[in-house]
Parts: sequence; C-alpha cells; structure tokens
Amino acid sequence: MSGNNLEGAEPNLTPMLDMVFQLVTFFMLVINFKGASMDLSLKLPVLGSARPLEYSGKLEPLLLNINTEGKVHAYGQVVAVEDYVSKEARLLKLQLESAGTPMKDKEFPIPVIVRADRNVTFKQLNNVIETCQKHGYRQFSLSAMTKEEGN
Amino acid sequence: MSRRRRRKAPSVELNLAAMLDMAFQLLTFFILTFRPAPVEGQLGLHLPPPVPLTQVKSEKEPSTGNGGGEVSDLETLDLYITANEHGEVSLIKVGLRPVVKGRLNKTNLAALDQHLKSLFDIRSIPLDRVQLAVDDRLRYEELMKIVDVCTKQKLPNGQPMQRISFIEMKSQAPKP
Repeated sequence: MSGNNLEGAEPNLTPMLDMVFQLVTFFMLVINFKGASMDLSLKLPVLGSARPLEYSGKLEPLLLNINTEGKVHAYGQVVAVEDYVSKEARLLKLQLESAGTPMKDKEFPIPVIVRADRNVTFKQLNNVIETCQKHGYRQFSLSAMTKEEGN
Repeated sequence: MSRRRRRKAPSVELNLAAMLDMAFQLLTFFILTFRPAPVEGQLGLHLPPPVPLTQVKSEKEPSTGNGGGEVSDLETLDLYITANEHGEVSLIKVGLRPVVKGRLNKTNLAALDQHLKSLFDIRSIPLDRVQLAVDDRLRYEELMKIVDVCTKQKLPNGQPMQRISFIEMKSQAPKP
C-alpha cells in the first residue's frame, strides 16, 4: 500500500466560489420582477406585428389579466374589476396631482396593459375596457405573443 | 531615522466553506424562482368611448369612385363584425358592404386590408377613427387580427391609425 499522507489536505474552494458567484450574478440580473403581475397561465393570441410597449413614464401602467372565464387577475389575485380600476384611478390621479402633471382632456397619460386569453369573448373584454374608459383611461396596450410558444 | 521592522505576516486562510454554502443557497433560490420573460408584444391603441352610429344613413349614398362612396363625409369608419357560435368571424361589413364572409384566413385578412387601404387612401375623406361594432361572442384572438389590420392603415398625416372604438353587438340566436 502506498503511504500517501492525505491528512490536512483541503480542496481549493476559490474557483468553485468564483463560479457560483458568477451564476448568482447572472440570475440576479435576469430576474423578472414584473412577472409577478402577469398571469403566465394565459394563452395570449399570436400576432407577428406586436411590438414592445413604447412607454417611458415614471408611473407604472395598469396591468390587467383576463382569463377564459372573464375573471380579472392582478398580482395573482382575482379582483372585482370596477373596484380595482376605480381604486387605481383614484391613486393615479393623486400621484399625477402631486407630480404636477395635469390630465389632458380628463385622460390619464398612463396606458392600461390588457393581457387576455385568446379565448376570452368580446363581451368579457369589452366589460374591462369600458370600466377603464369610465375612469379616464384611454391608452390601451393589448398583449400578444410575437410567435407561437415552443417554436 | 527609525528603522522599520518588517514583520512577516502570518498566513491567514479564510474558511470559504461557509461562504460557499451561502452562495449555493442563493443560487438555488434564483434557479428555482427563475422564469424567463415571455416573448410578448403590444398593440398600442387609443380607445376613446364610442360615438353614436349616426353615419349609417349616409353610407347608402352612391359610390363616388375608388370603392369608398359608402363612407363619404365621415370621420369614423364603421366596421360590423359578426361571429358564429364558436366565436369565429362569420361576416365583416365595412359600412353596409360585406367585405369578408366566412372564417378569417389570410386571404380574407388581405381582402379586408386592401379594402380599408382603399378607403384610407381617399384624401378628401378625413378618416381618423375606426369604430368596431363587434358580436359579443367573438373571441379575442379573432378580434386582435382585425384590430391589427386596422392599425396598419395610415392616416393622411402618415401616422398609423390608432384610434379605435368598440361597440358591443348582441349576438343573434340561430334561427330554428
């Protein structure tokens, strides 16, 4: 038997630590916090001409998810659309007033992002749009996939 | 001058195991919560509330060339979209003229696009808005295709047409 003395031998953990920190940094950079407001179970329609949202305002757009039953989800919770939109509109109005940004023609300069399942009926969609219009929203962004998932 | 004594620093070894443990825990957290952002796009629209459908009468006036007579003197172009029981498009009328009959395939979409383009090309008619009267059964997927065709049209100032209004039409029950 060989008489190698392995006592006190310690692996050099530095390269492994370097690599792990690089991986942690990567995941920290690509983490998507906005995903929390999206209902990723929805099957959006596919529209090749859809483009990324061109909005650079400081205030967050209102994001509404509509599932096949016509229920509206916001941040993972089912919400009553009338209550939720009116509350958001009130809050937004206060924010705009405090920022000194007047509303033009009683219209909010903030878009509503509508993420609706492709099988949602127009009746369900229009109910949400009308509610938003009633509270002063005029700019809408209808979400769509730019290509079919899995392709 | 005072002499500086150089002491040999004792070798210090950090115990990296604890830091590695923590880094692995962080890494596990990020891997488990990682969800790549979906490849999503948006169709930006300006949706004012609908205006009353008062133009239908004038759409009966005779055509004045270029196939656009049915919307003379209008600023709003009315489209009527009827759906079948599966929520698919069965008929699209521009004004009173049926433009698309049957399912919404590429050919029908191209026909609709061509027709709208011919209307928007008439400079004497200052169209600035499209109003869609939509069957309440129509599926969102089908609606988006029509909205997409509408937003491809150009206004006289060269801007894309983004002013769209929706009106809900009650679906007609099939006749027995």
